[in-house]
Amino acid sequence: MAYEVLAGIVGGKEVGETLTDEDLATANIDALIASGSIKPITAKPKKDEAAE
Amino acid sequence: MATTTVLSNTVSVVINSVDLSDQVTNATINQQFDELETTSMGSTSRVFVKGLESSTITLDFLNSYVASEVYATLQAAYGTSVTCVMKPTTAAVSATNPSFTASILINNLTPINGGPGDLQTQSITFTCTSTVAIATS
Repeated sequence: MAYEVLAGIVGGKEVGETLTDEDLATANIDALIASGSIKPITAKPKKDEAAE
Repeated sequence: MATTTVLSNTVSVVINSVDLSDQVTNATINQQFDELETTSMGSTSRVFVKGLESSTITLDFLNSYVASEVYATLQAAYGTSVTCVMKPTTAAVSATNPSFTASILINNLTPINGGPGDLQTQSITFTCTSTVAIATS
């Protein structure tokens, strides 16, 4: 799972940068999402998959 | 005579991976362990041995309510233990800039504090739920 930094400096990354579960290994990820610090990056389905 | 002085204005404080350094006005790590008394018959003084570590971390914060700052970070972690990493400076960890890492229980907050014209601040002492691990590399 990957996460985008929404605000502040999280795991050494700045706004717009991407974090992985490995970067957040010792973090409470639910709390980071709840605080608006990060958001999960969900892969967009490919066009053909979306059409099915 | 060699003397090293270190200003405290560069201390780095990261809680639950969020860098809160620019919202911290004072930081203290108090490393300590329990003293277990082993004084026995024949002892000529009280005798103690080292027990479990029971360190604390005290931080003074400027209250800020936007995402990824003091209120949001601490309130979202309220009631849980999260990792706190502190360094004397923001430079890379080294023998002369060690990092201090501990798990802290977010068990008390002061989200509103201050009178008219005051800065909103809070001073919180967190109980460590782990040893304070020191790294130099």
